Amino acid sequence: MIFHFIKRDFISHRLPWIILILFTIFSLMFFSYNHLIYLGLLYAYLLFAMTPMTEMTGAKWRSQHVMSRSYLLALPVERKTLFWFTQWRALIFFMPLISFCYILPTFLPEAHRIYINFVPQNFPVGIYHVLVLAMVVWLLNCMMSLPLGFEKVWTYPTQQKRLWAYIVMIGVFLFELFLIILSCSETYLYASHPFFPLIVTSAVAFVRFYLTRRSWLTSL
Amino acid sequence: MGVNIDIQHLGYRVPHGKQVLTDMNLKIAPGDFVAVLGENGAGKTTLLDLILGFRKPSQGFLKVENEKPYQDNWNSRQKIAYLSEKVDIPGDWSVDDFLKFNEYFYTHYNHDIEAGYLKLFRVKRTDRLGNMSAGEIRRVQIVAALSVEPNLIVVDEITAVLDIVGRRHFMTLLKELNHKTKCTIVLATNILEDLATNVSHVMLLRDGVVKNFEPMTTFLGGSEQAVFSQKVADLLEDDQ
Repeated sequence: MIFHFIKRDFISHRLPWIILILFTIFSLMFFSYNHLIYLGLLYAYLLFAMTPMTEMTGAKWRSQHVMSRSYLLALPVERKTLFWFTQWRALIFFMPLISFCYILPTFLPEAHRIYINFVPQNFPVGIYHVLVLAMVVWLLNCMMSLPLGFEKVWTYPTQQKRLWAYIVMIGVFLFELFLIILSCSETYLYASHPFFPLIVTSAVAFVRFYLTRRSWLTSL
Repeated sequence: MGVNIDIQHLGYRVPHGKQVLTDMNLKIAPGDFVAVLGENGAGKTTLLDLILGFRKPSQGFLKVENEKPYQDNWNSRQKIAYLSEKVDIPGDWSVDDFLKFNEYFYTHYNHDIEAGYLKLFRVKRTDRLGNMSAGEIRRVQIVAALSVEPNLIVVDEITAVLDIVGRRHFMTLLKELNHKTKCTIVLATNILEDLATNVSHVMLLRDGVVKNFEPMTTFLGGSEQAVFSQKVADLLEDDQ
């Protein structure tokens, strides 16, 4: 059943996929000597991954021409399964970003110019790859859970309640981001075990995943 | 064959918000065609959301065929047609794209019925949803939802955007399905036209409380459509 969704995603987003592929080929053919182009590619892949998220979770309110969540939840599909489908579908749009992060350190030794204060070569190969995946899982779930959280907060009756909820939501997100950056930064890494960033990032990603799942299952 | 809906002491409060439904008690029998009427904000959509299992009751329970919908008995949704103004479809899809996407999930999807409804509602498979009006999109949804041969049809205020012909076709179709298949229909609406001759029961909601729930014949007491509209308005207003 998931392939039914994935097939539909490919048909609906074939133009962005084609543009991304052409942009990559063009950039590498003509600007590969300049490290700034890799930064450009990184942001392009990130933007590409973020764009279809609303369609995947479905729009809660009337939003003509975007698939609505009511329709998705009314389908004869177990809602927990639907949540997993959404995760996998979103992950596919992260594939260019993941591939880029995996390949980059191999052919661009100065990759740390792109990743701020983060040197991939310092990580044993396996750890680096799992770490990238854990970061993507965290980011993907942030992109899914933050809009779901905002939807909920908008229904709170008083401004004070809404304000506090915003502060808590954004505060938790920034704290998670801080933990990940801190655990992966060069200075901190040298002073600790190479597994440390992986443990911290995976733990943060797991907590975010759990929160997203809970928000999704109570999202209407 | 339709389903029964059993509602006992049902209450719903929006998280961090107001009480929307209070102490509802009623039974909808298989084959009933119930019109849910009430002012904006009376709780009509919330009641339908509870029937679909989108929300969990805060008090009491609501059972559809002895199952609590919020517990996600997903397989029973095979036979539920959900038509709502909240349902939107991507604009870059064609009618055919949507129908094919939708039918995949339903094991009893009937292509002959679909072809008949496409003709009845004058929907072309090749039309793009982004170029259609709100009423035309609703017609597409009606075709998709009713082609699953449902035993429960939940309609949340879609008649308002249908034109006169579309609305008449839709109401006639619901009545026919109700007679032929004995499916249960719950229709929330603000359009009273055609209701008196089609529905079997009337439920009046006021501020989340059931003010009336009775067979249409009892409710009307032998009067006509014009009196029906007047009576609904009077009953909803007399507490204000």
